[in-house]
Amino acid sequence: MDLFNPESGLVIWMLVVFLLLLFILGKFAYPYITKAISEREDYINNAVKVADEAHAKLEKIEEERKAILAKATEEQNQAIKTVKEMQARLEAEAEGKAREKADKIIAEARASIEAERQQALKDVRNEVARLSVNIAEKVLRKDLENDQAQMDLVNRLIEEDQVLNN
Amino acid sequence: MIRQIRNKVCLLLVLLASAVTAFASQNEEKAFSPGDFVFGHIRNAYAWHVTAIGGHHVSVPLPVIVKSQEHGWCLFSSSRIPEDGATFTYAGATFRLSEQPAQRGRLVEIIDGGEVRPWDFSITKNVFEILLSATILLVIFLLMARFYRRNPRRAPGGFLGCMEVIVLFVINEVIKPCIGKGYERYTPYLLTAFFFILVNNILGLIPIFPGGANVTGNLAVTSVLAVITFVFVNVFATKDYWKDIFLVPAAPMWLKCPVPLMPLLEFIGVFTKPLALMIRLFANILAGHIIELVFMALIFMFGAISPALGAGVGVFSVLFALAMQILEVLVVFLQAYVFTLLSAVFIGLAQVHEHAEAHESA
Repeated sequence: MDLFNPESGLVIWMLVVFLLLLFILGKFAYPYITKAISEREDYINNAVKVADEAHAKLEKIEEERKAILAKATEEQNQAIKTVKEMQARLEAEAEGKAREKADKIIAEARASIEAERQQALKDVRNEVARLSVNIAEKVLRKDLENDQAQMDLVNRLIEEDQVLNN
Repeated sequence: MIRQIRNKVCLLLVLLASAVTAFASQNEEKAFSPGDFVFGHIRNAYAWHVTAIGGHHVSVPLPVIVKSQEHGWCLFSSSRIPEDGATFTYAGATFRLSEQPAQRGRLVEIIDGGEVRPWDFSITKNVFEILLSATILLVIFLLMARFYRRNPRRAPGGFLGCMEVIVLFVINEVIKPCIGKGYERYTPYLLTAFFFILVNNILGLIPIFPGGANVTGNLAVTSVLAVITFVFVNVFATKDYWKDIFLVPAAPMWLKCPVPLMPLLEFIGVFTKPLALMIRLFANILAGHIIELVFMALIFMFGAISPALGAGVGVFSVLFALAMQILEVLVVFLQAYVFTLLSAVFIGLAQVHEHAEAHESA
């Protein structure tokens, strides 16, 4: 059977062509292909690693940002609280001072009014005494033309005075 | 809708079968011989027969290169060779196609009435197909290499992307696990073998020129591949591998002491492994071609009895041939895969390292 009898020409052609093909592909094709694929694989692995790291870093930063934000909010609240307290204290203080001052002014005014009133009363009394003396003088001058009238008057005055003093 | 398509397909098959039968009945002057038909297609040939129109054969002529014993190198077109086996002369030398069983269809020189096979380096159908497939592989892989050189870190799309998937499959699923450490030395050969077998198998499925040659179903081709595998297995084999073969430490002493039975078996195994590779690929692809052709031959055989019978058989023949062709698409990949896998396994078996093995079993 010729099918089981290999042709020497075909064997030689096959050997030559196949070895040439192997040589050319092995020299100019496979090294570039396998190198490029493994390089790409490394690159992708590396990129994934870097991306993961960046992601983790981003998460950390996000957390830090949140923490900072929370802290800032707290500080803000604290500051607002402090300011409010201070304001209230200042207001209270100012009020107290103002009241004190007003009280002082009022007290001073009162004292001065009192003093003036006393002075006025004294003046009035002096005036009344002078008037009384004058009137009494005039009345006395008219009425004390007789002794009886003088005695009556003295008695009446004494009585009146007693009534007044009681 | 489906019924309509089915009807159309049936009609097409009947038309096809009757066309083939009509064609068959045209050549009635020469009785149809299924053996010649089948083996004429799977055998290597000097010209590439495409078809026959009205009894006239249409062939693509290929160059014939032979070294005559007395007249030196002869180069002529295959169209000079008469198909009926008649003698012809070129540059003083007389040739004819041999009828002897072992050399059937091959060019022989007639010297003193006897047939002498000259050195024959003709670009035959199979040589042409080998050159074509080598060119296809060169174009594909050099394009791939160019893509990777020009686009570092980028993955190719389309056809080159598909090729990358196959290349990576062969490297990562076949070569790496079978050979293990140091597999890089063998990747060029195993990749080339895989794609060479694959491309030739695929070309063999295409029934018309420039496909349909039975390259991987030819013993000359598979024997060369097997010999290269044999060389790769044994040239780079480790010392421990040879120790395992000739001393067989795993076998009991009585199997090797008076009569070295186990070493002998192991030594025969060194040669049977590549031999099995050679036969497996050859037989599988040859069988695929023969089955396809037998289904076609059936149409002509029944058509010779009666055209109607031929048409009836033709419908089924075409259906079965189609089913076989679909199966062959699988076989095409499978045989390329199996050859590469087993080559890698044999190479891996020859990479025995005693220390590593002892370490593994410990």
